Amino acid sequence: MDPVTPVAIAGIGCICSAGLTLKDSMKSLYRGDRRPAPPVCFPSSHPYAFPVFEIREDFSASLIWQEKDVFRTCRLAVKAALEAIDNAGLDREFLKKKRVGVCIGTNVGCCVNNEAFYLNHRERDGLLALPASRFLMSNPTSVMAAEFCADGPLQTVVNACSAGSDAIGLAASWIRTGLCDVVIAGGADELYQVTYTGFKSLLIYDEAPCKPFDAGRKGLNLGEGAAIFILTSEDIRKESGKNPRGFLWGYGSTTDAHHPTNTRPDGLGLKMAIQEALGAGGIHPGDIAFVNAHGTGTRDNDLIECRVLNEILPGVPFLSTKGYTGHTLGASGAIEAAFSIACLEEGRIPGSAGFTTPDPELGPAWPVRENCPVSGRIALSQTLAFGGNNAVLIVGI
Amino acid sequence: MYKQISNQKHQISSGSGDPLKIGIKGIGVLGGFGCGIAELERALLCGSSPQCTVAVNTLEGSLDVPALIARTDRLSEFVDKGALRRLDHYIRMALLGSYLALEDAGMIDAKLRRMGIIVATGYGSTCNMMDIQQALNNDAPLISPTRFANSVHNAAATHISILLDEMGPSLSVNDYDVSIPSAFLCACQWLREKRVEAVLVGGVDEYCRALGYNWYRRYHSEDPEKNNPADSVPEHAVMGEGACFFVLTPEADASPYGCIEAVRMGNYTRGRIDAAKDAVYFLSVDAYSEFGDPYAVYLPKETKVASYTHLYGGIPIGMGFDIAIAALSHKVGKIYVSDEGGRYHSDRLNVIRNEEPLGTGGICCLKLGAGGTLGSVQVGRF
Amino acid sequence: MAIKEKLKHIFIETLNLEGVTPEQIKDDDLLFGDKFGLDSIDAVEIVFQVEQHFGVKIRDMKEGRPALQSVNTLAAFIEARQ
Repeated sequence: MDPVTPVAIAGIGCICSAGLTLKDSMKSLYRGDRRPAPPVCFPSSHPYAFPVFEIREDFSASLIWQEKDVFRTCRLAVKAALEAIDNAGLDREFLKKKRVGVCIGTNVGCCVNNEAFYLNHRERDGLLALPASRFLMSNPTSVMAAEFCADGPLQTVVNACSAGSDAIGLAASWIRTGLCDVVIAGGADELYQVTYTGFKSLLIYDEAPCKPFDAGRKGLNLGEGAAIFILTSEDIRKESGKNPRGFLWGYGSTTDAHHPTNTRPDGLGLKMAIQEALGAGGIHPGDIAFVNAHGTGTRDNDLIECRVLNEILPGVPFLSTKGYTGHTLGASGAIEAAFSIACLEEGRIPGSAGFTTPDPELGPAWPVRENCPVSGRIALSQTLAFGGNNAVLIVGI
Repeated sequence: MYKQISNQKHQISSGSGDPLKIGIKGIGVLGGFGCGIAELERALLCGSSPQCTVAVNTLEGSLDVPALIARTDRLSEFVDKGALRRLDHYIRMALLGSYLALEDAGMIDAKLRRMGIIVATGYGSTCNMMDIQQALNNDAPLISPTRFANSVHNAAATHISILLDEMGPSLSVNDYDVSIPSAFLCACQWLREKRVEAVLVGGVDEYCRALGYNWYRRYHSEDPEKNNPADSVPEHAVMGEGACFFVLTPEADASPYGCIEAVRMGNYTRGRIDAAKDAVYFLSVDAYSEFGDPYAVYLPKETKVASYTHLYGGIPIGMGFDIAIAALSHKVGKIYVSDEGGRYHSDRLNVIRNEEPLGTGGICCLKLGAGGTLGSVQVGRF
Repeated sequence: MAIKEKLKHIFIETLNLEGVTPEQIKDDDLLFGDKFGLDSIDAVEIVFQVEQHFGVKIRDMKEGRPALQSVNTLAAFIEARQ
């Protein structure tokens, strides 16, 4: 692939259990706050509930939809989008006049509409759940397009855990090729009983708060949230009169082609994705201030990530933020890219929550334990998905 | 009310504004019509697909309703049985569609430097999701990990990449009835950016009992005189399932099927999409887009149109089959007879009722979908 | 049905071991050797099915690995906990 021009990130919004905005989330991270707890939003049939990172606070999201009509994943997405649009110095009226695309990554956002069918089928005499209407209420891309009257391309990326990163990377190409003036891009996922139970059944869910990269790590904890990036063309950026918050320098995407759930042991897929992202942006490994790793807390993922980082980016500080947010699935790549921009602005990264005891197998480098300063204007955020997708974003300020 | 579609926007084309020339090198299809492009052509020539029935549990007992169901027996020609052990019908359909497309392209044993894989789905892996939801509804503390792994929306793409040993980028999309144009949008972008040498792009959707129940609620006759509710069901409302996959390459001149000239996505209610001039339109009409009949409203009067839903059934990725038929039309140089017209007012539009030669305007496959979304894929001659 | 027999039927059905009969699964065959082509997803699937059919829980693969060596070891594990 040819090297590409960086794409402007005009604004960012984020909501997760660490905070209802990006600013509040970062405050929690730097304080080292963690709030894992048993789920409240759905009944857990297990004798004792495994911890999740749930957003307990009320958040209002939309001016168009009634709260009851639209699924939580969509409300999370719209909440983050409102923050991002405001952060970009834009407004709804401005967007209505432009070619606006929407590209959102999600997992749950495409499963929940099935629940209505199932209930129909089970209850027989219940209200008929027409496929189209259920989809429109539950798909974050559709809801976003309706909310902001977007009339450009729409895409809902369902690449499991890398969906949010992939959505941002794909959206950037829409700007570069002139398909749109603006793209509302990111990821969103709510806590859902199917994914919670599914990961427990795979025996990769830790009964205690997760410990990414730690010697005693036993698996992941789920979380929920959304992050949205407003990507704009250079013309729009000039028209808005505001400097962009940052840039997307590169995007790399590969598939392990190995196993439906296990990461490729040689890490080749991740290595190739990192190299592709660096090459796309013309970035040297020495330019990377830090890496926001995927770091789920599972035995295999953390081991392979560490091996790859030690080989390709030796000496570059890295961390996992999933100890603060849980694994937010389709939202994770977007949330972690948002955190990466905020950390570059702050010139420091938080400690990798949950990491206390180094695992000799993961050395020679381990994640940072405490808040630590970083210098540089470019960071790398990587996600490794169920099914073997690897997505790497290189963001900068 | 008639609304002119105006202002060309959101069309992917090459930088100068010239049409894309993305070659359609191979096609793999399976559905109620059978398996493979030859069987799709046979169904086009005879104007129907062999219909079967599926049993739907209702309050009145089990009811047989018409459906166009796909079979995946031919998958064993390409993949060892052992490798298919855990794979369900949904994944098998996607796999078979992929292998058929690669076989048709003469690329089964080709080892490209990098190929992209894109899978679109409107419903996702519904049978698995229903079973999982049933288990949770019965307070199950755990669910089958195999079923959970297979239910994740990117499962089909995952298994395609594993069996093909392809480490290039992979994308799964779920945009209901515009999933196919969404997938083609990305395929063309990847080829334009030179991210990959070729793209295997397609869609898959499966029938499940809850969809059958939905169908029953919609079409079941209350009239005790009517023994067979299917009598009152329009052709395009019969449920379908299947997969359609394409191998796309930048070399349009090597393509027997013509090429992709444009991919458009937008929103027709906000009225900013251009109609391709002189093209014949293949309309992705089915019974599941519930927003009235927009085709007659938004297309210019007398536009030549055809619909082939009767051959593959009502299915969100149905537009993929229309693209296959458009490509076949380019290969053989003719337009096949359309179905009866269904919901698109044949008094306003010029429905193709007899086979006719393919003109120079190309074929525009169009979906006016739920929520006002628009997706179109234009197929032309190189 | 005896535990060992029941396990063999469960494996064939839930792991979709087409063409394999219960007689072909020897009590001391290595379940995760080359004979059956099983992997980590099959391992957690067996854990799930054991809980479903026998009510016996395997908490993690540290506990599961020795138990899942063969039909013999798994039957013994189940018997000790019923």
